[in-house]
Amino acid sequence: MHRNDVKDVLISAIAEVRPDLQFCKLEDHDSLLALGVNSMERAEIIIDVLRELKLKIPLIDTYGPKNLGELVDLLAARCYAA
Amino acid sequence: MRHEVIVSGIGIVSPVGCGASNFLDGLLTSRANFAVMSRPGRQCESSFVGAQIDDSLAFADAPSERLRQTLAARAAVTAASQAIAQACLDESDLAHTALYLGGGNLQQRELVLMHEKHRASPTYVSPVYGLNFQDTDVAAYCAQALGTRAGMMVLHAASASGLVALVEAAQAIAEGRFQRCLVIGGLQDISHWEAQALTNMGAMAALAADQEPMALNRPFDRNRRGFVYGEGCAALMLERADSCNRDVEPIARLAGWAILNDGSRSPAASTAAEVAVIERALAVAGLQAAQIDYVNPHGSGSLQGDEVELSALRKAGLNGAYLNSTKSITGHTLTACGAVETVATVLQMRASRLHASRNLSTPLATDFNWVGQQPVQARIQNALKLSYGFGGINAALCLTSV
Repeated sequence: MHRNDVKDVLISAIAEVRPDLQFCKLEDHDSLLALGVNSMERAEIIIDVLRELKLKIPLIDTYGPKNLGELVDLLAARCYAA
Repeated sequence: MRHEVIVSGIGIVSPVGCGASNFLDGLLTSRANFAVMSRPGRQCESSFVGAQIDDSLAFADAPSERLRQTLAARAAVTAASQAIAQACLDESDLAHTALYLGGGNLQQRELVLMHEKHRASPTYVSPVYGLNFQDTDVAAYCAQALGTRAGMMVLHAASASGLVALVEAAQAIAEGRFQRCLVIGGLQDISHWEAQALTNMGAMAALAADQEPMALNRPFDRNRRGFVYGEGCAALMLERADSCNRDVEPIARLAGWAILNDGSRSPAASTAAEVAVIERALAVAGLQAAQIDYVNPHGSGSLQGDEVELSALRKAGLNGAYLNSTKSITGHTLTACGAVETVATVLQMRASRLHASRNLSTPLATDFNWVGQQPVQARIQNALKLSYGFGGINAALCLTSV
């Protein structure tokens, strides 16, 4: 899956879990933490994305990225590897 | 030292009406709404009848949903917010308020929907399921949203949960453990699984072939067929009378209470246990049976339970008091019913009006002072609220006008 497609999936998962963020223009340098997304909401978003991408990786493997861009890169790489 | 306990705020979310005045109006006009239930997860090759909240009316002012907020959580926060507003409490007051939630397994329907959604691939089950299956989830959601910080207790006592939570909170205040407690009778959001099992055990009413849904719910009537489910949630703010020095009018006083377990796993009610819990509550309140003007019974419409309850009331000497059935209008709100019906009791006491008992066309017994199919005007000084739950749980609460 192309990186932009992964990003679209991530953005729509964020909007699903946090409807108050749906009209924010989210950039690669934004971080979920800085957006006020708490740990449970983050887990919901990531599992939503993994489901959409049909990717089976442990949640803990997604803890490294510091912002949305890095998260998209990681997920895209895992999709490619799968 | 036993502190006096008063009610300083009430809140209610029900198909009959949301907010105290709307709910009272609904009770006095018997605004019932029983139909084959349509909420997702309530039916599976079935046609279970119940009363459902209109979400667009009940939660019109609620903030946008975050993290898949459940029906039980939304109802609890909405009812509690009404009680807090009436009690005129600010953030620092709430920081010193304990939260008592009556009820467990409040989110069964939501869990069933998640099972269905994720059955093909459980790997991707929603992480929030890990919160939703815990009985603490609704209470924690409320504590976070409302700012109560003095303590959080979750008490599950089946259909007596709401009243047991009120009794435990009142006891804690009376003993000086807390100055103020927010008590919530939690909405038990059942799925078709719970509905079917409760029907199969003979507790929940099933429609007869030629019966209208509105005719199914008839507590204490000879033609009752079991209880009919109703969504609902209520909240009451309890306070120590001597420390409630804000400009707030007390709504009622909690005069005495009792809880008794008769050690039975079966859903069957016990006359001896019901008489005993009533007598204990009256003794704590320092009242004689003849001084009780109004009884708000458990009266679920159960075939055995309604008979037992009338027998217990008769033995306790309460057949002279007014008697009606709030469940005939609200349906059986299960874990919430003790709180929902205490709110109904308090509102009727303050209005000096008692609501009708829907569908009570042929009462099981004629030696009671029934409020039949029309409301009556009556001054109520002392009232008694009763709740009974599976597991041999019996609870009684005496309320007095202030």
